[in-house]
Amino acid sequence: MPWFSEQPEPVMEQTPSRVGRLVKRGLVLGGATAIGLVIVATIFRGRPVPPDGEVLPESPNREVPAHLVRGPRSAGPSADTPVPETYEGLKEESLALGARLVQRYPDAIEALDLLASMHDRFGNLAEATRCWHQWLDRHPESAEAYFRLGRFAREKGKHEEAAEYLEKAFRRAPSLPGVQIHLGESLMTLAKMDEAVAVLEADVDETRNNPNRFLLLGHARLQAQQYEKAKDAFRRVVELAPEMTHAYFGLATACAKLGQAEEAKKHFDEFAKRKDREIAADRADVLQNDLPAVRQVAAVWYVRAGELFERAGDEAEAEAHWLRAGAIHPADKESRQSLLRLYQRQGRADRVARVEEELRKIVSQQGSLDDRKGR
Amino acid sequence: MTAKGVDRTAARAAGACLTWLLLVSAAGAQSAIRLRDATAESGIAFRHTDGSGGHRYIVETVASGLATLDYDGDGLTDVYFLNGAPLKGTPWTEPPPRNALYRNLGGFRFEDVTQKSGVGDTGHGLGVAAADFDNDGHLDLYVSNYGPKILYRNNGDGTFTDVTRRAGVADGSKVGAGACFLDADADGHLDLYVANYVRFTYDNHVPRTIRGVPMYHGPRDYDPSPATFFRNNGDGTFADLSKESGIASVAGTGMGTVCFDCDADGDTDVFVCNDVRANFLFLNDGTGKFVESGLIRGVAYNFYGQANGSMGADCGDFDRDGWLDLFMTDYQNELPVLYKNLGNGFFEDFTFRTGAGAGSLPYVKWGTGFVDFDNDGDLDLFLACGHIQDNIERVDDSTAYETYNVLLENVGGKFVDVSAQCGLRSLPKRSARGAAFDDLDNDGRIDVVVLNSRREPTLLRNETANGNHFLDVRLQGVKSNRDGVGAQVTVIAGELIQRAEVHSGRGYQGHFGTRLHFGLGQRQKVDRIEVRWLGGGLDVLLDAPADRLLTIREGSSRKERGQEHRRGLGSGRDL
Repeated sequence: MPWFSEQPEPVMEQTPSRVGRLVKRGLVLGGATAIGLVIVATIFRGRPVPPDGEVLPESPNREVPAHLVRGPRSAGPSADTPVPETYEGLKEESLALGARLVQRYPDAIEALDLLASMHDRFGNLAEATRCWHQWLDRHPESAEAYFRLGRFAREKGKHEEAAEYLEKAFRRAPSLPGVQIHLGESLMTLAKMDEAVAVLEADVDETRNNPNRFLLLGHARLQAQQYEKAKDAFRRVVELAPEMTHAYFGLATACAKLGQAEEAKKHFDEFAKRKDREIAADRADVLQNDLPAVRQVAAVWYVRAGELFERAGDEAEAEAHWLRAGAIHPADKESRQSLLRLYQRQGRADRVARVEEELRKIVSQQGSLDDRKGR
Repeated sequence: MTAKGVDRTAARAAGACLTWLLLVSAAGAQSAIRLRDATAESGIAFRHTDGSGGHRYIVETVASGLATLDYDGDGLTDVYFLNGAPLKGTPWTEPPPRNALYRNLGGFRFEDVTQKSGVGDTGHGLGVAAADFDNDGHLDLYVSNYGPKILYRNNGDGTFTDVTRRAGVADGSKVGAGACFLDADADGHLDLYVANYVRFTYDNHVPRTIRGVPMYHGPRDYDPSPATFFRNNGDGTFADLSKESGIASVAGTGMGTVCFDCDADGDTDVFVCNDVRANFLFLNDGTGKFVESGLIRGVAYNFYGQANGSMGADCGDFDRDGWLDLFMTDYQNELPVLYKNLGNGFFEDFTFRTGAGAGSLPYVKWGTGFVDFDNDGDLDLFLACGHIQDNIERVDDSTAYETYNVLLENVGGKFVDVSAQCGLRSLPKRSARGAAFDDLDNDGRIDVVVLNSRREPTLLRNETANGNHFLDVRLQGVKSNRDGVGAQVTVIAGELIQRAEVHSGRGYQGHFGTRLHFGLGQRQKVDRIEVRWLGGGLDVLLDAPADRLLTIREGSSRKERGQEHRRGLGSGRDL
């Protein structure tokens, strides 16, 4: 999967089969959660210690402030605990992890984000929304909360509400990844093309080279009948990400609007060719059971949880959670990489050697898997 | 842009949003459309089955469409429901589920005439179209099944005869979907387009578990299937010209279809919804040879270039520019798509600009129709909704298996969700599939019939009371096919100009609207009616009073040497 499709911008997701869509939505949400947590963590790191209940300001600080740690430690499953064999078991364990994190770090946005994302991933949008509303009650300036609530509102088809939330998020933190693009698309849905163009044209460091932004900008300009500028935007997408199929569709449409029939045909042909390949790939990716995919996402959650503990200075818990991630999804690389860094820092040579060996095996197995798929 | 610039933009956006919301709320509150559930008093006892028995075959999810038609020519529109059949592994019941024909007795009362009429097919019914294929003055029925299809010839005495074998239109064991009659070569005989869904068999079905619960498969789990095109030989038989016509040159996952002259070149083209694949637009060269042109013409994908889970489609001139536009329903988390005809048979996705997706995003959308519910002279949109997964709530609380239908009122070319105001939100939630729209009580207001999966249907009586006028037009072909399928009618009343075409097969794998309906607002007469028959004939009629059904016979009012003759307004009668 190309890097850009892992961004939390559903507009660019390909359309899989019906059930596949459900699975992919889960994977995307999982990915988005992971990315979101990185984003949030980045922001969180940049914040000084706030008084209780105050908005978390920004400053670089890799540690979870001690005063945010309120709840008691409560034991979760260890690496040796049998991994649930059912979806329900995994769901139960994951939600318990989220609840433990929120209990222990009630004012850490990563913990809340993780729990809310779990609810969302398990199809409980209402509970995810409730989580973020609660956060907003305590942190009324939270751009992240407005962003998430905007995304959830979009998912529910509440376009006006979504635009309102996303606008608030964008005003507070225009560099929050995804917010610019989601706001732009929400405004487009409301037929506010000029406003959408203005938002998507806004120069934000984080999206300066984001092809998704330019793709959406191209479409907003098409809708606003700015065809030449639309073509420029789609060209930019092709420069940034030539593998992005939908860029060729946009480019072809813009050329057609400009009366450049020959060029339009060329791009339509390219689009059709790529689309055919995608359909074939989608067919190959059809899942009969998404349990392995859920395991993969659950492992990512454990990795993120471990990072939270690490930043709070609780290396033992961090290690336990990364080990659990590896147990749930044996091919997970990220947990091993985190463990490797931890063991190197701790000078535990035997553990370093063991994890390096595990990583080598994973890389080698994934390589052969990719070979089999002809990728 | 600076941070301040961003703030200003955001503030402008918020201001504009507020204005839009105020407009939308005002329009919604003022909607005159009222639909009342009249199912209980209708006498209709039909109950749908999708043939399910726990195996979750894909063909369960797409059942079924329905048709509204006046089969007995008494001036009252009757209803034909398709039904599923017990699929492999589902216990057989006696009597088996069958399709059902309900005769309209007037006053919104219906009588089950299935047995008497002989149209109670027990196949797994998915799509249906009605047309007078033999030009004998009586509407016939084509039933598109999973498995052999059925052609019922109307005997004209309230009964039908299964003529499938003689006609040669059974089409094997394919998974049939939407079907349309069209006169592809303008020879006066209606040909038949039958979309096929996927290459499903019991043998290639594989159980699937997602999020810990059993789920239905999607169309991408199966190979696509080319459609079938039957040419009418004019003697009661058809020839399979799928390859020769160009129709079978591409394979799709066909569902709803609608045929219309998209480029005003005088012949009938075919639009096909393909589920999670590019939609097809088959352009006719006038001789019954087609070239698939969906991508170039702008209807293959939505405006992002995404292939939606396309379900049902209808066409109508929503912006009254004289060109027929397309509206298409689709899957959860996809906006339905309004393809505006740009005036030359090229289309552009105008969904955002018109609000045509309002209120429907979280739902799976099926039956649809461009319908003037309030007779104000513009076309509103109805969307029948319901999920394919009967357990979807267990894994996704943003949608539902059973939900409300959506009605979007056309307010100056923008669509406003008036579902609550018109009464749809007061009805029980259902998992709708097909929907048909016709004036069932001849009161000049278009009513609604919705086929609900695994349930009784819903009949919605239009009780909009705004005093608006209307004109209904029924065509009678002489040189062209008997019901004027493919003919375009333009109605001019003052500054109000409307155009519509007679279709056979539309919406979600169904049929409705053989009688064309034009809302006139407060206008009490029509100044001019033009009928452009397939094959080139033109009839022009002047000064027709409103609030009546006008039957126009081909050639009854010719235009000669620039002179317009007011000879005979056909057989008009007050409704």
